[in-house]
Amino acid sequence: MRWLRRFWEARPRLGPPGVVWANRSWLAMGVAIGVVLTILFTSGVQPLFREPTEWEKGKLVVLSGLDLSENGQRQALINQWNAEHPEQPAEIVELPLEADGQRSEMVARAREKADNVDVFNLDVTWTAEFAQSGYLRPLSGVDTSGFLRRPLESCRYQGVLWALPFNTDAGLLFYRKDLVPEEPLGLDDIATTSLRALRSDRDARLTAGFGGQFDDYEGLTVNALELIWAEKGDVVDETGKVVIDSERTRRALRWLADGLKGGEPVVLPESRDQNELLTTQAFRDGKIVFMRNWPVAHRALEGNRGESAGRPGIEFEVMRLTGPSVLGGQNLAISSKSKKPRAAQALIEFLTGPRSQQLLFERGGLAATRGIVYQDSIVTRKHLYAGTLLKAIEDARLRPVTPYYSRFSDEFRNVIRYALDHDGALPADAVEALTGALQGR
Amino acid sequence: MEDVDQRRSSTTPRYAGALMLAAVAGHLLSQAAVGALATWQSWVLYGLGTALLVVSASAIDRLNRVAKRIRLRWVVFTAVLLVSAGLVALAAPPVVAYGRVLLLGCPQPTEVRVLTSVDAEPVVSEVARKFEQHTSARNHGCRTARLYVFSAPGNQGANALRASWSSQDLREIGPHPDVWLPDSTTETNEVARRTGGIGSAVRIRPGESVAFSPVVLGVPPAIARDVVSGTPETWGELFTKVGGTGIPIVRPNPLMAIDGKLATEALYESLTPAVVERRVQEAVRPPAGAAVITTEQVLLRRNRGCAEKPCLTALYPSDTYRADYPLNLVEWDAPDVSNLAAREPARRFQEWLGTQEGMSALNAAGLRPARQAAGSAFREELGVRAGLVLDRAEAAPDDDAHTAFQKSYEQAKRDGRVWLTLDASGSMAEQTVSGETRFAVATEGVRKALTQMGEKDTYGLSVFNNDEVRRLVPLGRRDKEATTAALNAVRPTGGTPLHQAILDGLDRVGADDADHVGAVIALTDGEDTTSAQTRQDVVNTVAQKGIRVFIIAVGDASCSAHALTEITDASGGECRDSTTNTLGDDLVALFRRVWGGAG
Repeated sequence: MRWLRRFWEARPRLGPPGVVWANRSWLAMGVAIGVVLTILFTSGVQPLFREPTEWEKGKLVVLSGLDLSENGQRQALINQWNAEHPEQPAEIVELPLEADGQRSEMVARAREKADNVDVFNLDVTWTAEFAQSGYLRPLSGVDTSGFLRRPLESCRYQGVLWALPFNTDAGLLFYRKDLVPEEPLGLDDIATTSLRALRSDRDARLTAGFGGQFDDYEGLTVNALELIWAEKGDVVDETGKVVIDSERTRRALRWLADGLKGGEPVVLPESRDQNELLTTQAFRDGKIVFMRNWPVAHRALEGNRGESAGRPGIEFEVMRLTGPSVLGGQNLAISSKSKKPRAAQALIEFLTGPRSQQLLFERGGLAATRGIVYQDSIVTRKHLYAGTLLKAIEDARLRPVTPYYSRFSDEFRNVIRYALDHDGALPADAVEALTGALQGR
Repeated sequence: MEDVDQRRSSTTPRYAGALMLAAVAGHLLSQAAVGALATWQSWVLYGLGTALLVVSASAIDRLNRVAKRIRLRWVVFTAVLLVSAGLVALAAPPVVAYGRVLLLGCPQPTEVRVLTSVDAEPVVSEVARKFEQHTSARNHGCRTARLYVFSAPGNQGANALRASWSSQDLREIGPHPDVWLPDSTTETNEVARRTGGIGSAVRIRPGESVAFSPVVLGVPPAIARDVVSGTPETWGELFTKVGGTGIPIVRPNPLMAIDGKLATEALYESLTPAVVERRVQEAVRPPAGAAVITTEQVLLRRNRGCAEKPCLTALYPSDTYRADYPLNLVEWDAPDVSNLAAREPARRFQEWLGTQEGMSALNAAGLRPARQAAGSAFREELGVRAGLVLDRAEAAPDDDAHTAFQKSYEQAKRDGRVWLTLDASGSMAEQTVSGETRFAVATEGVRKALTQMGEKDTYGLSVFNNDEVRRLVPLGRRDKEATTAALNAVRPTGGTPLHQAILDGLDRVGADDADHVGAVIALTDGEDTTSAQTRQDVVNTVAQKGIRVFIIAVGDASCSAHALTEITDASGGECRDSTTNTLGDDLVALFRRVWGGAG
């Protein structure tokens, strides 16, 4: 312990060479000079070397998933940009439909040395990963007014704006008008109304009450989160802490696990193998009373609601989920390796601008990220659900924000699958496994 | 002592110290201003860096003073420097890595793309998850690789690799693979040969088989009890016995799937091809109660999810071949998609599959590693058995035999007779992005598709709108230009009598006979609006006639939403959702399938 005491006694002499802590004026002066010089440099000298503002020339490569808009409206917008800006033509490189495949190819390309991509079209859940890995260039000097709050929030990570929202999405609750006398307020209402409809023999085709996407893919994560939120439970709180082990969460999972069983199931048992398309088909075939789905299902159903081909028509209505929805959609971001960042930013601003958003929603059916579009009379006439959707988006929540989102989603689905097979009980290590997954373990 | 120090210190080091602090303060200010210090972790890192700077400067100064009193100080100095440099070089990487994980969390794992077959995807995914977990064991709990496992139907994966992964493959199959794990070594050889040349952007490094799974005949347990005898039996014997019970025998298309191919090759050795072809059905979803030709692992996994175990019992013909799953490394040379970082973890995945842990993972997933006995996953109640006696040394017949097989298969299959009917309702006049109408896009697709016509194949063509079906080209062999010209004269307008058109097509094609196999292909962009017949009428007729119906849904039409699949499922056809972009390719693929080739 003697050396410790000696160290303590020598303390006044430790520090920068020759500086004795006792002589504080030198330190104070050093700090003061440093601060003054920095301020002088940043405000006086740097502006002299300000970068040029005109757009770089050359092709802009946009990496994006398959265009799901009606009539290729996305490509139509790009064509329009190319006509107006022949020196900065944009080209979409289309990636596979499956989101995981898109992410895989984007990550691999982002790691290349070559400048091979200018703009990423990122799923809302990937912002954190791409920003943390250094694949993105932060946006500056962008006017973000006019964007809806939630979609814009998904573009930020750690206080920095990394992207602009391209299109957004929120889950809606579809229901059969003839079987549902009043809109349900919670999961219990859905169960009660379903059982009443099933027992009333009003429709022989009915086999269950509620249908969702419970196949083992991102749809399961989304649907399970929404059910938990509907019971006012939660999985990860605002501070990033895993809070899945609560009575409310267990109640939601029990509702689902119990609902899938029995002779008059509240939840369609087949929905454990269903994605969005199959759920739509089950609803259209009159098998279920309620359906959770994205607004794109509304378009598919709207065109086929009438009676035809020996199949009775259905009368359906759409409302918000009984709890908050998961926020879907995609954001546009600039690659950190792009040699044309200013032109890329201009393209992004063009694609997310009010006119493009209007066209994408009105003609392409992709939900706009700007509030003003929802007030347009053509949009509200063509997409009857626009008002409901706007409220759902404003009320929607982000999936947990972490650079390891895909890992988290994998682990969360393990937990949910276990719960569904065990009457809604959580696995013993659920909290530990999810906490680890949030940190990439 | 202090007095001495005070006296010896001049003002120069004070300037130096002040300058250093000035630099630190300035840098701190600028970092804070641009928002680089947004998290507490970054503040901790900044503090650590500053402390290190100050302490090391102080240490050098102190060392300098001590050194002045030592003899041979340059020698000592150099020695100390070398030793400390060595220490730092050894200790720094793990310490830094651990500190990084503590402060910033795990680094992102390297992305490795694994292409496999549709049948093998669930197995490979399960094994890949275990490998990911394995990589975290020696890395502070952080996974170093993430394996994205995806699949392509039939030989599409091999074709895409041969074509250096075109932009269409990127869109329709998946990302550029770093690992290719096909069903069979025979598939690999040809692709590896073709891609090795100059000018090819892809190089395949063929690897060894990691495990195998024999091709089996899965039958309902009740049938298995009747059929099984004590002695080993060949494919021919088992096929004849099971065929005698009257249940359908379902086989995947042998030009598309390896299990279908290997079983058929073994069957042709003992039975006449035409006999085999008349007895089997080709279907994507086998009906309940049917016998199924498949690999053992597929059957095992299907039985796991079965309510009443087992759904199917595996019969192991003594002369069966096997899928042998080679792991090939894929290297890309193009500078923008090379994914160099993936090569190392891909190689480690390959090595790991050869270790005890890897083989156990394969075994648990339902495969049989060559050097390890079948484990506890292979149980009677799952319809499989652990012990296995197979006659053949080779996993599959060699390439020469394959060419001969293809020929006899095609001869055994009958000539195709196709009735094509196109939607000419008003909505087909709608413009696509390219400025053409949907109908024009469809016409172009038909022209392309007709190039797939085989020597003895025939076709006929009609269009439907309002409430009538108009025959444009009668059944027979016609040149393609005549068809295109006839289609160009059509002006789309009115309603959509889809059902009527399909029923009319069924009449035109006529029943299948010894020389011909028929199919009806309908292209529509909306639901039936004007037919007198209901969908159920069509389903009944299709089921009764047994002629395959294929539907391509574009525009507003949707296979699922309109339940068009009900019509196509009635006879083992297919409904495909298409877009105006991919319509041409989808038509070509369908025609190729109907006319007997691989699709």
